[in-house]
Amino acid sequence: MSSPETEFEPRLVAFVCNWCTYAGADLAGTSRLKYASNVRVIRVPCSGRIDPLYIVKAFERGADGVLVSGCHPGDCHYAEGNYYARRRFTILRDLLYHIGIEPERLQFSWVSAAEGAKWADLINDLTAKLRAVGPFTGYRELIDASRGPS
Amino acid sequence: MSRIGVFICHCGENIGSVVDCERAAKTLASHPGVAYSTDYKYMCSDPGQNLVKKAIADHKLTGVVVSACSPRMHEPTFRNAAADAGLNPYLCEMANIREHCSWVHEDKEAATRKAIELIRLMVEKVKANEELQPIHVPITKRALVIGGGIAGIQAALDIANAGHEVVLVEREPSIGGHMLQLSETFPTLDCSQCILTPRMVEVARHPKIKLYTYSEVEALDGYIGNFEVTIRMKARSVDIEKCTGCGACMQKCPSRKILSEFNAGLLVPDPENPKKKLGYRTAIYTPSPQAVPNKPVIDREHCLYFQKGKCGVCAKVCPTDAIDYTQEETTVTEKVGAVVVATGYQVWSVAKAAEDYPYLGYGEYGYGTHPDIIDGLQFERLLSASGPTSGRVLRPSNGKEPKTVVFLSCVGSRDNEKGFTYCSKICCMYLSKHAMLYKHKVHDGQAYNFYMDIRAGGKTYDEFTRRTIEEDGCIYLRGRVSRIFPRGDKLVVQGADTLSNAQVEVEAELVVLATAITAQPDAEQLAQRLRVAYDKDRFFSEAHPKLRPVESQTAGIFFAGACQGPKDIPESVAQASAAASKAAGLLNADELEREPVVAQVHRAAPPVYSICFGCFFCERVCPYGAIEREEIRDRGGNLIKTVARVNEGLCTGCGLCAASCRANAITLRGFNDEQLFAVVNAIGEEQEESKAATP
Amino acid sequence: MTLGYYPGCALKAHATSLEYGISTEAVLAELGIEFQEIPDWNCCGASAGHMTNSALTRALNVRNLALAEAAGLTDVLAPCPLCAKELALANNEVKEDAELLEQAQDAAEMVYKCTARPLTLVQYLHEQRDLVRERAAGKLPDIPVACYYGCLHTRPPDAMGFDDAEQPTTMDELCRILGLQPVEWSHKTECCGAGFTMSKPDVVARLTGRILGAASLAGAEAVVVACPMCHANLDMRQGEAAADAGLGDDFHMPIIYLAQILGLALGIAPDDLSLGTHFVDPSDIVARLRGEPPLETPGDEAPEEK
Repeated sequence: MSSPETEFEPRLVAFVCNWCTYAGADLAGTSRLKYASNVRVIRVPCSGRIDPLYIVKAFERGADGVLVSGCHPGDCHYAEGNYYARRRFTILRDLLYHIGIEPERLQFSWVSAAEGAKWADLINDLTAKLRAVGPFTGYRELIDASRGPS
Repeated sequence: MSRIGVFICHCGENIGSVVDCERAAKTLASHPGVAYSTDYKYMCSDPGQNLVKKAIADHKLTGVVVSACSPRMHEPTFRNAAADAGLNPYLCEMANIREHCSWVHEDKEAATRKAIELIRLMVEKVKANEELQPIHVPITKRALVIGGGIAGIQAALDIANAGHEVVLVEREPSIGGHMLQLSETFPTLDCSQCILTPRMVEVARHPKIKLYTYSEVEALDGYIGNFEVTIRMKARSVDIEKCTGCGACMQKCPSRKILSEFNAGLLVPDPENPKKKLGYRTAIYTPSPQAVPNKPVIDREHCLYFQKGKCGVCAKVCPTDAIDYTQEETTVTEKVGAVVVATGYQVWSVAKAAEDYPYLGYGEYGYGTHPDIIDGLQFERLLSASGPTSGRVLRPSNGKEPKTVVFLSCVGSRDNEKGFTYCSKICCMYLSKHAMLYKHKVHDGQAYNFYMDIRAGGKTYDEFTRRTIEEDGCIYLRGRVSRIFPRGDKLVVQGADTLSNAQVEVEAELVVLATAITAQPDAEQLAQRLRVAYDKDRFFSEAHPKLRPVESQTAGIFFAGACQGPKDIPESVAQASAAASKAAGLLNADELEREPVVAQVHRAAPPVYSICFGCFFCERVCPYGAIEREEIRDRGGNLIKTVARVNEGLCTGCGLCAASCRANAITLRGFNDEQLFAVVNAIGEEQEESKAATP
Repeated sequence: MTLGYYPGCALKAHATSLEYGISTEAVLAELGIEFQEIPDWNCCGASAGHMTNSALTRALNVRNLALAEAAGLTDVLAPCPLCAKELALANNEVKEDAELLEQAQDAAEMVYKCTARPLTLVQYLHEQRDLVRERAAGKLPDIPVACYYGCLHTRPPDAMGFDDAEQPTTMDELCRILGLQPVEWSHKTECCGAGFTMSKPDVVARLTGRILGAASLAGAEAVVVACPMCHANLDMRQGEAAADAGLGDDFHMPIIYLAQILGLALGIAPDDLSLGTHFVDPSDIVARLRGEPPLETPGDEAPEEK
């Protein structure tokens, strides 16, 4: 792998639900599947727990991309949480696009506890996509600008 | 002031061969708030856990992060260790550096950097964790068993004998289920009613079992330890207190041509009088002579009194005046602490399906319309001494003894095209039994069995099927049947024998189809009423297919028998006892301890009382109805405002409310905003540090 | 709306079942249905095409459908079920898969907007049964006939999308409307041997023997078909079939096209329905269907042509 200065390595933050996607990612691990190491997983009990502000904060803190992943429709451990997550996400995505965050940077997926391979492929695909889109500098520029000339 | 302990596990070679654990421990030692940081070979071992406990004591730790495998694996292990050492278990978290790191990345440098970052994230979370105490909930020491077949009966008896009261609800007029309809059971050829009826009587007589028959479960409210079930008692039109079961009403009832559900709709011409058909029941009836309770029910749809206002003979002949035409449906509620669902199965029909039904039926078998094409349950009734023919095997078309009977396996099962994908499990065994019993009754008869595989995995099952082939001369042909059609008064069965590579045509006088075992027609509605999960075939879903076969994912509700998937009697009984032991175990405790990862609504001193302003959006989104309304009143009793309150017994900790609350008034303990923002904020730190960090 | 008409090789080009084409066209004309042959139609690939190259077959049929669409003909009547099946399968495939549509369009050098709908004659007449009822209800005597659907009218169910795959009844319904007495019989959809008539005629003799035997057993005096292949196999080998089944030296079972039956009910002359070109002479039953006294001896020459 080339050094960080020459090749951009995207930072991907994933908010995943405990019952399906986290378990699916565990399965990818027990199956020893290999995928890009750019992702940082944050576990929540249900994708419905995810407040849109967490996603915004992640971008502010330097994430180049955010993934939200939960149980397949109909399979939510808490019956309906993933439906609310999906609705929230749909609106959030439009809103973020409106303020300048490219739609490729925010992804939503369903990964079940049995889909280890799907998780691995998903991370690889997203990482590649983010590498192509480039670093997210929007917030950085805002923060620097607000600080004035240093 | 945080004093977090970081413990990094090598997990033998699993983590240690990829992640440089020593370096990680050194790096974390200088992270603000970390008072102790070390690495060790096997954290989950006794010495490993002792390491944690000792460090908690020696370094007065206020929190612990164990960086090892997935929390789904060992979170309880380390939380218990922390609790043993006097640290609140919810101040212990795990960082997953195995399944999510060492096992999935090959670049050691990248993996080590990622591990360090993951541990740092959890350290920041633990800093924001609060001490949580388990919630104690009282338990009603009674159980509900839904379904009175062999599984329900067994579960009810086991729980009652363990000392707890049982409410048993059965929707048919009698308990006994499908097992009561069988003639003899494999592999022992025990008479089914003989082994079942003593248990049925025991249930009826048991002082701790309250039996509701001809009743249905309408609703189940509440939560584990504290359920309330609403039972709808259908109108029998008979006062069971007065009825003595003498049967005079049934003898005199003039409506004598109703298809009997107990006989699975089978009708056979009387050999002595072929114009008359055997197998009907009357409008006032008990399903079987061995019914428990042995009290009849009036089928109002077919009763002359209810349909036309005529007759009334049963009331006239009843010696105890037990007939009550004015009886109405009633609803009762019962409080229970545990529920066992044992609602059983139904036998699929090859008839042409309705427009909106996904299964097509078997047109190639004439949709089963020919009277001599019957299913397995109907053949049982033919064999049964209490059946329409008193146990004689006779053709439904003409009442004569069939000399050639063809049995077909897998009709609708193991079929991706037009049936169900699963194996119905019991058919290979019962067809073998059918062929055997047929031969015992019709000595000069010949049985054929068109099969795909012979699934005889139970104890002495394989020997049983071999007997059918070797001693009773049943010809087993490995192949499917492509068509069945009538020719003259016989049925031509066209199939294949793949082992000898030949097409086979058999002229049969009776054809028995082993149709699929399916979920009950209203299984989906019942599952939704109980809030339990079910699969694509409407069998109820167990919590874990290997290790938790009788528990549902809904706390306090257990499964037993064929409602969870096709199975035979020994398995149903085993599951029933298993479910009973789970239920009894639950009911034995005086109180139930629940995980405290539940939501809570903000409360403060007057004049604020709560930042909740009563929009109840949380109430709308909660899938469990766990949000209640609380009126906040001042000392004078005046209403200030109505705010939300979480019922900790019902709350399952999903956090949907917390993400939906506009005022941020409701939080989820264990995953509140402070904790999650702490984690997200820590991501930024890594980026800055990693740029400066030495690789 | 003008009905598109796809006769296919059997009804027109090679005319191996010319009588089916003639009778169908006569009946459509008599019923006052405006129809137009698809201009420049090509082979549907039902014989060699569909087994050798699916992309070719799809392209052939997309071209046919595109030609129909271009001529403003959205309902395409294909009286031969083999053609109808090829058209329907191709239509379904390209409707669901944009890549296949593009490939077929490129090969056919035409644009297809997926608006055409292929139909068999049975399907079309069943849809028009009110008109049939109006013009021909009860016009035929209640002679027992066996309606033979063969392998393709209702199968594959996804492609043909009509009637019950294993126990169809639409042809029976139409015959009943005309006054005939369709029998309940066991071999409505059983295989006749199809293309093996060339390479393994003994197989066809056996299979058709079973079909004709079942029809006889059910009391039928004629078999009604709506497919050139069914007609050919059932009509051509009755001697061998009867011998194979051990039922004498011949079946003498007339095999009549649905279009011919309907034509007779509408009062069209037998010669205009090409009833004189079958292997098994149907003159006797034709006479009875027309309400004429039966001929003196069966197998006599047909009555003098008009």
